[in-house]
Amino acid sequence: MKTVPAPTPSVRRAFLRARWRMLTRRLRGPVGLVAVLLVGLAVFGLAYAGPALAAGLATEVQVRDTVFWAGTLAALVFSYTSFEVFFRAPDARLLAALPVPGAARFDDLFVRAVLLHLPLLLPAAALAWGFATSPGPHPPGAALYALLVPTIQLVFGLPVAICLHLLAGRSLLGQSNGLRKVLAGASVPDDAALLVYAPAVGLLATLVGGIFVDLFLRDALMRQKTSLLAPVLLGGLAIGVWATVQARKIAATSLHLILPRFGEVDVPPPYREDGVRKVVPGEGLGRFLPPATLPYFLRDIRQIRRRHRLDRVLVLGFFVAALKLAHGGPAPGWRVVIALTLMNGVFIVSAFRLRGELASPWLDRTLPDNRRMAALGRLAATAHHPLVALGLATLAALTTGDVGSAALVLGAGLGLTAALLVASDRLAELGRGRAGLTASLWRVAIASLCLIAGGLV
Amino acid sequence: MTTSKPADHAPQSGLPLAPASNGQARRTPALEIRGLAKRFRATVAVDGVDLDVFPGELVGLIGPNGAGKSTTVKILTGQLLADRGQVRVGGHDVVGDPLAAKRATGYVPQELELYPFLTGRELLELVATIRGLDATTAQAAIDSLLERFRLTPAAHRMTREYSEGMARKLSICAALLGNPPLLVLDESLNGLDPRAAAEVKAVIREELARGTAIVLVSHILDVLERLCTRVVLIDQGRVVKVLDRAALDALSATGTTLETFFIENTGGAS
Repeated sequence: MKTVPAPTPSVRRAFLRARWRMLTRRLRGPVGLVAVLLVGLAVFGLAYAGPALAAGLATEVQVRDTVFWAGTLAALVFSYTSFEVFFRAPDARLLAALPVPGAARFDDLFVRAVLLHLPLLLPAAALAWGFATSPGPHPPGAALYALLVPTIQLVFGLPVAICLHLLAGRSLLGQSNGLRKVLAGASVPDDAALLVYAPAVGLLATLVGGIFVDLFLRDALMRQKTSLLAPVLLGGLAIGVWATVQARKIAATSLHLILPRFGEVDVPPPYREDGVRKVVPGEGLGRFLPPATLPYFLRDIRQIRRRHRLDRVLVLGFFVAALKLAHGGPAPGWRVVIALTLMNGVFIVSAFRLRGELASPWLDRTLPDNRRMAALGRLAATAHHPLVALGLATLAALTTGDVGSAALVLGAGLGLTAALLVASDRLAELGRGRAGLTASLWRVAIASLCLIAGGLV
Repeated sequence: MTTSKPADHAPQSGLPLAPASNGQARRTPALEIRGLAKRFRATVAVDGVDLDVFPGELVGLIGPNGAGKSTTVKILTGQLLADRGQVRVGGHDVVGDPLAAKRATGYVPQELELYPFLTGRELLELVATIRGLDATTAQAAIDSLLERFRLTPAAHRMTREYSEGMARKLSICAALLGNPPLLVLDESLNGLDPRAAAEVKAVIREELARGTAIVLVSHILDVLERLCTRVVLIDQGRVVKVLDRAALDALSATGTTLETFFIENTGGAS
């Protein structure tokens, strides 16, 4: 029989080299120009919003509150998206049959996770910039405090979140039990129950750790007890390193087993039985569409709902936030509209995914090549959740009893939602083949615009 | 596929694991599948498949859609975990020693996935590194494969610019890097023009002559009929018929095509 060569230790370097090449090529041409413009927009937005926000924070409590929420927002994002990086990597299928050592794959994905989440520190950097440059009455050390708390949270929180995801992934290799059945409920398979809870546990761990970081750094920076600074920094780093080492160990021994099992459970139970689900949320919208559009609409909305299973939680969270915004502060109607735009910007990412990871040659081949109907179906599928969010935003405004404000939310919200839908559809079409990158640019653009609009309001 | 319980996974009587007449049964198989079973909840996808594939042998896997061919291929390439049974490639267990088993397997998937922003050469260099080839060996192998598949002029173009046929040929090049003892080709003649298909068939013959064991999953039955040393018919997750070369020739002599044989011996959804 033929002999097989032994492995060499250069896989990690080869991945880094390939990633760098791919990134630089993706950014060539008009896409690169758009990326530069958007980064410029984001920096402008942050440079504008940071000092404006810092100027209003006079007391230590106000500073700590704002920094806590900035850190929480970042932790909320990376607790979930780090899971996506490791379990739904776009090249997972390409590499699945290749002899990639688990540790090398871990390093590859870990670098990707770190780079992807570094921009989460930008709001903290903007706030720190605001404290450093504005002559407001804020306490001394506020700038460094605003920068360091979220940074340390990211340094230990991201590896802890990744470690928890991999631990939960490893649990897929064991048998399901009663506890998992209870935890799973009806939305996910029993054996995947721990995967659903891992992000929340990661978030909790980051927030608890963040409270300690806050306490020590408050004393170190705003009360000038500088001897505490080094232990906090080193402690955060030590936890991050420890969690990284643990996660890498799991990946080295089990990633090749975890990912195939995840591929199996990453389909909601109804699809796994016979490939046909009874009804997915949003299908009812199909009643209002031309019959020829219906197959395309159903295909796309089912694909979206398979991928975005926590959307309903987001919608409810948004409603709570909209209620809070509608009942306080200046220009409540506009603030709700901005929040709605931000939320819909997130939902509309599915327009890019329908041309990327959710596109399937098999699905395309099963339906006639009717571009007009396909486009309408895709637009309707993408529009479902934004329309629900619009309804809830209007309802939130109505609870104040101010009909004018509700009309503003409905009118402006409808216009902006329509604009976002059309713009995303055009951009996604232009960025076909670069869906991931275009979606990232989309997120940056929406976040920057909302930031600037928030500063103006 | 069925929704019955998986059967006992003892080798199914009357179905040869490998041709016994030519003495190959005593050689070490490049691929050994024993009692393979996989179910997705109530759906039994693979139900006790046993199969050996020997060096220099081309085994065609045929069966209706949903018969369990793709699930079997996914398990033997490490993309899916079996519920029961064992798969060894080049003597390495796909679960216990996955890296060695994957190094011993060259796989061309049905749905091609390439890094669109790498050139053909760069993609092959990455795969060569993953497969453990040193730089000198890798370059020589890549040059030779690109030449063999007439991809040298396109080697410095990004794969996103490749036609489906070129992408498939590049994928076959990647599978052949490292000279793996087992080659798994899943519908690998799809998307190829007649010339490219002829090239791939020539490469298959060359690889067989070199002693590579090949598993070819395809619905192009006339090609299987001509090329294969053995054809394995899978239906409802089970191996239902095995035709060795002599049986294929005998079938042909009676004027019966593999297509007729297929239709007569499968009752599942097609």
